[in-house]
Amino acid sequence: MDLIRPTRIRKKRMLIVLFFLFIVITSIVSMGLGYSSLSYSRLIPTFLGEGTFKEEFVLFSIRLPRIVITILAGMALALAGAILQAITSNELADPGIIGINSGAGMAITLFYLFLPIELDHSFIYMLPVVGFIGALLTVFFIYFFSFNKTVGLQPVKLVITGVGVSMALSGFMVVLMSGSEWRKVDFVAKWLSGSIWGSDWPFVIAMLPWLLILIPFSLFKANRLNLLNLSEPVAIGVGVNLKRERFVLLMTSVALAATAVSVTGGIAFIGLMAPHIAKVLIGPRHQLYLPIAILLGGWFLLLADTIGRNLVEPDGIAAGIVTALIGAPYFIYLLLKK
Amino acid sequence: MVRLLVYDLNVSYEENLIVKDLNIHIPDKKITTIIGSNGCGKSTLLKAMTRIIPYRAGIIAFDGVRIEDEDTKSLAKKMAILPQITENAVGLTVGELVSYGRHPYQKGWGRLTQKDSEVIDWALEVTGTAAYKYQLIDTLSGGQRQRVWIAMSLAQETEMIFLDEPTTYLDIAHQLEILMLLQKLNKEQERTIVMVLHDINQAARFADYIIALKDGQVVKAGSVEEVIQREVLKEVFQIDAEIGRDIRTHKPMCISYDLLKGEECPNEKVTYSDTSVINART
Repeated sequence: MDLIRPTRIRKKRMLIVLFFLFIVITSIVSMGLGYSSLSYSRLIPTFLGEGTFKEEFVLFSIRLPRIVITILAGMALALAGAILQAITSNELADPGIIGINSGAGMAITLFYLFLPIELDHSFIYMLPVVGFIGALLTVFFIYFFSFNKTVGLQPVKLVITGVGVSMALSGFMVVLMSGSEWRKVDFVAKWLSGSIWGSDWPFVIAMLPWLLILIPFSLFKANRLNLLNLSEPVAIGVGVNLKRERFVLLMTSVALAATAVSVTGGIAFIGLMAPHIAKVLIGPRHQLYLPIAILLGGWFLLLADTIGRNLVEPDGIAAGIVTALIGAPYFIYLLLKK
Repeated sequence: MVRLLVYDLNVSYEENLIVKDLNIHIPDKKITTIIGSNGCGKSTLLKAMTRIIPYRAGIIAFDGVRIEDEDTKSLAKKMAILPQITENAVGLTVGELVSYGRHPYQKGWGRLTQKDSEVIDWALEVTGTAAYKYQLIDTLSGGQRQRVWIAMSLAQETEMIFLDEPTTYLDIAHQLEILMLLQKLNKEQERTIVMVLHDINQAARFADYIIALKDGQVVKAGSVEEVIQREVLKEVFQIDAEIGRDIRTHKPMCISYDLLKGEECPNEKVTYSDTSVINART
């Protein structure tokens, strides 16, 4: 079907290849950068199993899992943001505004500060689960208040309630932390700033299935996303089951964002920027722009983490702070443009 | 023959009852126009009939089935809706927007079949928008854009098309162009057209059946000759109208009109009573 000019299909392919290359190049750069040096000339031998123990450890146990988790989380956040923007018909929507970051943060704060536990190995794997549950509970809470029996989910109310609840939770977290042990507060603060703390292979394995299922599922829903984004009456008119589609898509978005945030910590603005830039590049048709937004999201977060990791020795700056530094001005630019 | 029937309909926004115990039917294969003053509930009625908003009580039945009981996708194969112009189609090409009209027929991944693309091309052709197929909607003029939206509802291949003030924001030439296009669709393809119009003379010229509303109730419903009458317009719009004939179409026409003498506009009355309340308090 020649609905779309062949040149636009070619542009889409070109952009996909381009951003894929960006990801590969940034990954390679990122492998060699960091506290323990691993020279670029040693990368290939280390991959082939000819590296020293130290080189192998740095590459396979520290750098690679972190790179992979960052890309996956960025992809998930970008897709979550794109879906949210479509179902609320709001270009400024980000998973952060429906309380995902603050919900996960709140749960982790409570869990960590008030349960008598130490940061050992088994505990670390509990955190994403706790964060995920916290994010889900918060979203359900917000959903409940923006739901109307006759018309279903009200997108505007969802955004307003979401912003309110997020702020309330953030305030509450500050209150909780101000009275707690310094060392524990330090960890929670790092988590909140989006420090990609869960950089280990099990986290990759935990995240991968979500993406493998939900990315194709979202592309499957591309037409309905197009219509929801367009206008409510138009979507109803062509037979979109509004209540059901909004609920299913909101849950998809929440699952994606909560999975990402519970492993990386609170990261905002990726879900806002990646879809928006992709739309500028190729237009708002979801079939075209979703794949590009996903790749962009992965690349952005990887880039942010690589920069942040190497900016200040030895710990670096959290990726969430780097994305906020780039994302906040972008957000203001979007607001001004409107 | 009647396919769409509205019986004792009540529609409300929050607690405000907008449409009250309304009974109408939509004649098949005709052009029906809903007229009335601002806030009389004509848009609300159109939205309720097309399931865009829920209704509180009564029955809206299409082919004998309540619209809320029918699967929304199969209903979308019978009725298409053109809401008031939405400005949200930024960044989409004409072809993309028109293809969304194929949604009721799509399954799974929503790839367009040969049939789909034929219908889309046909809809573009009929509305005279084929030349813009690859252009972005935001680069088109108001009249062209409205024709594209009509093409989208045509791509839905429904027997009924509902339009909410399809001529708003258009200059008089483009208004006529849109209405003539709808008339052509009605005559040549026997599509039932239901639309809300502001202009009484346009309604008189193009409609076969007119429903005149006031305060959410029907004042008069019937043929143009029956509805475009001095008494009816007096009640519906609070105007004193001079009815004559259009010298070209010979349809009834409001040649001149004045506001009714001796009766204040209801809005002004509200203002007076408001100030009296304030005065009484001070």
